[in-house]
Amino acid sequence: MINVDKLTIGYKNIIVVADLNFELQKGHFVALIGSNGAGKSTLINTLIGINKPLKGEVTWNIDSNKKNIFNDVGFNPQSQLIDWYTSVFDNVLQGPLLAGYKLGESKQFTIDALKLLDLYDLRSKAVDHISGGQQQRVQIAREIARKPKLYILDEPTTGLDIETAESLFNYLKKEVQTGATVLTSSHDLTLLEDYATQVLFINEHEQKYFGPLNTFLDEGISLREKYLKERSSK
Amino acid sequence: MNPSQFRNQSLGLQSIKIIASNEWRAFKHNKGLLLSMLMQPLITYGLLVMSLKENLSTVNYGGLTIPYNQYALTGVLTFFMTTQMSQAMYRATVDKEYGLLAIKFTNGVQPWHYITGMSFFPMIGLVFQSTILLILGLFTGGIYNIGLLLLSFLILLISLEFWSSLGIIISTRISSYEQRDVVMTLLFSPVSYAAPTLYVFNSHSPIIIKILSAINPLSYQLKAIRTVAFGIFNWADVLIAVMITLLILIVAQLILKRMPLSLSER
Repeated sequence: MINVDKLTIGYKNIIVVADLNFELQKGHFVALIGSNGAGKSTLINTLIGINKPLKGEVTWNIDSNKKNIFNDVGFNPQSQLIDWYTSVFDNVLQGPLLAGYKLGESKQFTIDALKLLDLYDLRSKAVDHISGGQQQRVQIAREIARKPKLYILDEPTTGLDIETAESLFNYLKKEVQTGATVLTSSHDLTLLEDYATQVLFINEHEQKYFGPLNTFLDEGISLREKYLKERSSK
Repeated sequence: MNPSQFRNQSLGLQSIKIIASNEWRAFKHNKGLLLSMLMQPLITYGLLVMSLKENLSTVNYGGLTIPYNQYALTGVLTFFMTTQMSQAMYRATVDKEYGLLAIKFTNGVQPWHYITGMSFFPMIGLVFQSTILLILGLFTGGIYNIGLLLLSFLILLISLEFWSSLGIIISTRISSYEQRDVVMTLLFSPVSYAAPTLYVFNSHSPIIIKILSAINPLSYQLKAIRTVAFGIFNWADVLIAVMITLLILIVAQLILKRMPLSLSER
């Protein structure tokens, strides 16, 4: 779906991560891990074309019947992506509408996503009248309502309670089982270990690992232990 | 496909509807705005113009002798236009500051679709304020000819597109609410008052006023609105107003097309 070839990412002449090489394939549930400032968000923003690569190439190849390939993507950035002038419902509704769905089905997808994220009762509220965690759920609901083939989620569990985070990842797992692909960053390594099939680990400006989760954990330790071990061996 | 090409894959004309319907929902969600919008026609026409009418009973315009309040009512209409530009700026600033603009463009909303859709919010506000003014005008003899005035609303809406586009262009160049407020304060008052909105400029007017008026797009838009509203129908005036709008739309399209996209600036 996305092929990354000799990619160097960063800002102006500051290299954040050099020589990234990996391929996101259909049906993968990829955990993007790395410390704060490792370049996870920069990578994600480069993958979707918001940031320009310093070197190398990102190539998308999605079997899409939409007018725009990005209409098949559910993208949740780490930053707030909210229209403060509109309600919870209207914020979520923008997702499927911009994905090219008709108003009727967009409304239905919006209702479904609001129910999934336990936001339905708040649908008429102004987004600035709900909590930070609920605002995060609004952003995720908007992407789920797009029914994407590819989810690119940057720290989606930030501010979410345990039940909602579990419920979200359960949903994503079901989506993967029906052919969707997920790339998500998170610092909740326990949660990632339960759901991810692949790991993309970036550290010290390098891609340290990309491949199956079980190969990454070949020493029989948890993802959290493995991550800490890798970090301390720098 | 290279992801930097996403923004070139057009979502089609439906994106105008998507943007406009979101603006309609944003407007409905901010009903408090209606109250502040209601005040402007009441104050500028109901108080200011009606008071000035006591001193200026008629004005000569385009060979016609017109009651002052009928002349000034068309000027008040253009006040609303520049006020509504602030709404376009508010909305576009939210979009840019929170990355919504980047997401809309990445999803295939083309710049001119965006500008057209975003004009819907100020357009609703303008129609609301114009309706209030129309009612006030009907009760105070402030309307020269109701049919012609309604026809001149077309020029008003075309001219609004100019100010909305300008507001959106400015929004792409500012990065904080403080900057936006400063720009709005510095721009609006001079634009509204350095044009013959509530008064008639003539050969005796100060040279600075003449210069400011000559470079002020509002002067030409006023001419176009008045030529229709007073039944003069000087088509050159109308054409100039339309061309000014087309020109800014082209400039806005070029600027937005090349604008680097970014997510939240917070």
